[in-house]
Amino acid sequence: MTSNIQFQRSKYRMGTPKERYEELELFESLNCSYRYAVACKELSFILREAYSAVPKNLQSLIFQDTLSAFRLLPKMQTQTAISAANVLLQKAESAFPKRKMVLAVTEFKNAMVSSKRCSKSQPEEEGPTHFPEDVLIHVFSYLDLQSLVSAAMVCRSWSSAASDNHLWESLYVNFFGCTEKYARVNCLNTGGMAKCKEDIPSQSNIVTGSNIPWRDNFKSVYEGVSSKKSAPYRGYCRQCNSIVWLSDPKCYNSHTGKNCKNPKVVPISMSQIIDRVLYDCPPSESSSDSDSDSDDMSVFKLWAYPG
Amino acid sequence: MASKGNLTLKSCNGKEFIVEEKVAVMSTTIKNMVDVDDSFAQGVIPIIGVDGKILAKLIEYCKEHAEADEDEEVKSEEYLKKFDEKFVDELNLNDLYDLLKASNYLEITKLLNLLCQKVASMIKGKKPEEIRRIFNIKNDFTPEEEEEINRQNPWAF
Repeated sequence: MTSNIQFQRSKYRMGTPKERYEELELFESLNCSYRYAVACKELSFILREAYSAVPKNLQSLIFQDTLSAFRLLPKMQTQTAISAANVLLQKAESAFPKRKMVLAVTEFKNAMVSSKRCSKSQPEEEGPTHFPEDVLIHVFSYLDLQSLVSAAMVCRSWSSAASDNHLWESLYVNFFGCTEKYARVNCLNTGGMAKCKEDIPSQSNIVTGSNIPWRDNFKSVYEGVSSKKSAPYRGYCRQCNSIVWLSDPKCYNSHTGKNCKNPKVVPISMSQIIDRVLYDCPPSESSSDSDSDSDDMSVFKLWAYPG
Repeated sequence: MASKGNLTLKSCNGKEFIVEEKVAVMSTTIKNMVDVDDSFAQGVIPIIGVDGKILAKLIEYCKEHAEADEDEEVKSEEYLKKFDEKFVDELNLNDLYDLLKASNYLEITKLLNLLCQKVASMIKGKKPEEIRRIFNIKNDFTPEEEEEINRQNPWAF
């Protein structure tokens, strides 16, 4: 296990920009309807900031991914996806040389035509009624922040399920870890962040947690964060030196759980992603294994405390 | 009457299924029934509120997973993952609802997790309006409530 991590690490360290780009798994994310828009955004950003600077083999990969993005658009059926694809088209028009640009534009136009066709032909399914509230809460535990807030705006029963305190508690822990003041109460006896991460979703041994209004806590801390920068989608896991999705708490836990004994994921911005692909800069300065906890949290605190 | 080691499950519309006990007890609810009262193990277990079509689906899922738990060689993790993916992909919205309710009631945890993840993936990244369309949900907020919600929620986006 340890040697495996070591191996992965050295592989990424020595890797080419192309390999580091592949590590972002943009193609896979485009295929995944709820990540399509974000993946498009990242691709747009890479086109604008990095395309001209990367080696030829990576340029052609980026081109292929751009075409795939347009090809997949009709399957998405959301307004967000269409506007993300529009932005991608703009960036593509200015980044690609003429021949590639023409191909991309054609692909986009075809996609828009079949996208409209799809939305018209979609049959209205006969409506089942309601999920029981406990099932809804279970479903919502797999959602990221934005989707949870959207779900809360769907109807009354969803709104009530989405305000479940434990959901917000887990989100809070995922975003801000356990070192923040509200969470500290709960973690005194569990010793350390990694343990908390496992314990909090199961809630069983937390007595104080139920009285804390987690949704409000989350909101107040989060607002401070997002007023400075737009919300981060990606995180950098320092333990296995790779970029992961922040937006999927469960999936992200399983990733860090598998490869890291002690998950240390920090949110990163798009320009940090570019730095990594181009120059292999680890998103935070130090990278030794024996980092102290306070050191690990330093980047994080920039996000958590608006100053 | 089922032979030894087998249980008979009866759907709400009268369809009977004979299944191996190890398959049936993937459901914690059934397991508790059988554990508490031996007569269930011999007779027919009525599965209230679950029709034959959904019960067949449930059994299909439990069978694969029970066999995999028993013999990892034949049904690897990889195989199960593929099976799970195909299983949820083939469901239409109505089946998804019914299966969710049934697996919740019967406490088939693995399946419940799988289905909840599927529903979550259908919600992710969408706007409230789009979610309503997908699940065919009526917006039952009053205009005042809706205004209040729209005023409250922009912080997250």
